[in-house]
Amino acid sequence: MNNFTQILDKPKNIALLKLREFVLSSIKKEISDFNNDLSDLHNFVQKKDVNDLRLSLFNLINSKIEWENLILDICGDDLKYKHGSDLLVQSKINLSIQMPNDETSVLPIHTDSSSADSPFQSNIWIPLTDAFDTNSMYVLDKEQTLQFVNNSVKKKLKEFHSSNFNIKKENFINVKFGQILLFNPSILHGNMLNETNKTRVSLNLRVKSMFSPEPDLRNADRKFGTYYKILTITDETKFSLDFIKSGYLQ
Amino acid sequence: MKLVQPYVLPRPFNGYNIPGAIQSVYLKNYSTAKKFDFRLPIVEITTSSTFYLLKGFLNKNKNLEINISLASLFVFPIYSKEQIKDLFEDYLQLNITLHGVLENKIFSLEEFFEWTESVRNINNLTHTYNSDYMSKIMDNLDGN
Repeated sequence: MNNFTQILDKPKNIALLKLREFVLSSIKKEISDFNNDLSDLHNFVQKKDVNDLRLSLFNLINSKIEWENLILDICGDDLKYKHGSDLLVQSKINLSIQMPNDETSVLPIHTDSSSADSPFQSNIWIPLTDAFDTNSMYVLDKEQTLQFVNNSVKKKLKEFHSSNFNIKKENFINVKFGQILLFNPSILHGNMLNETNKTRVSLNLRVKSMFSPEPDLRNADRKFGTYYKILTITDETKFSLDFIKSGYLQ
Repeated sequence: MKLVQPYVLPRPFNGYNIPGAIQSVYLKNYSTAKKFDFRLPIVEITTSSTFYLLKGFLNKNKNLEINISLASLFVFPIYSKEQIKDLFEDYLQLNITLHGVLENKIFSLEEFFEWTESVRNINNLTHTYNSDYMSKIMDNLDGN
């Protein structure tokens, strides 16, 4: 199976522990009797309240901590190896909560590139709990993805639903806290109803090379300035940009 | 509560063509979420490249702290350094803050100019999927 996924082992990574600690302490402030076990969250939050909690955590993580630096500490070297030294990152980091039997949080099968994300980015998926079976995400392979996009372009699709695909048990990503998943945004993925008895909490964000191709104005909201911001840029690239900016080459 | 003046651009910008009503609701939601005082939006005239109502508002409030919310900072001609300069050159001394809701940015004019510079630098150097450059790369790959 070729699905362009990569699992990075980051056990005891301080920045990763800080991220999880921030989420834990933020939940504790809202739910005083929470037992500090994210995989047990469903015993403290009702399904009808989970999206409010998710949004609250999303706002806190994006306003109270410098998550960009933590991400660089966790996997900056891996990202630079893959995409080069000048990196753009999605403006905000996302947080997902998949509680057992919560049909409101199911994210149907999709590719990020369907909604105009750059096919040249990497999706970073950071579980803050162990992720396994249906509490995790499934990732299909290159062949099923290409077959789907070719049929879509040729208008051969009648509908787009997970039941149209051959999703197997082994398509679900099995990772523990301390492991990070990088995957190609164009590969079909999604989740199903969590039929395990554990909650999965995870973060996700997207990174690309500053100079990799972008959408044109047809999808202007996915370009740098709106969707992406600078994650890291070398002094040498800054110098080169200043050199061009001077007008000397015009 | 702080007053943030919503400003709506009723014409295409940056590849978007967002109905004024939708821009208005988006900006009203922003004001509500941020607990700013609500005020009806200024709706610019539709004629291309004009910002008469915006300039009128800035002139009228020269001595005040001015906060303006926009559905997107791209309502302004970001990709033209000259047009941006022309638009704001009479107002550089004013205390203006721009709230770009889509971009989630709050900028002074000076910060805004710096941001437009980086957008121009990076987006103008980056190829789009449909560019001739990308076509050439894909044609070459097909040949290998």
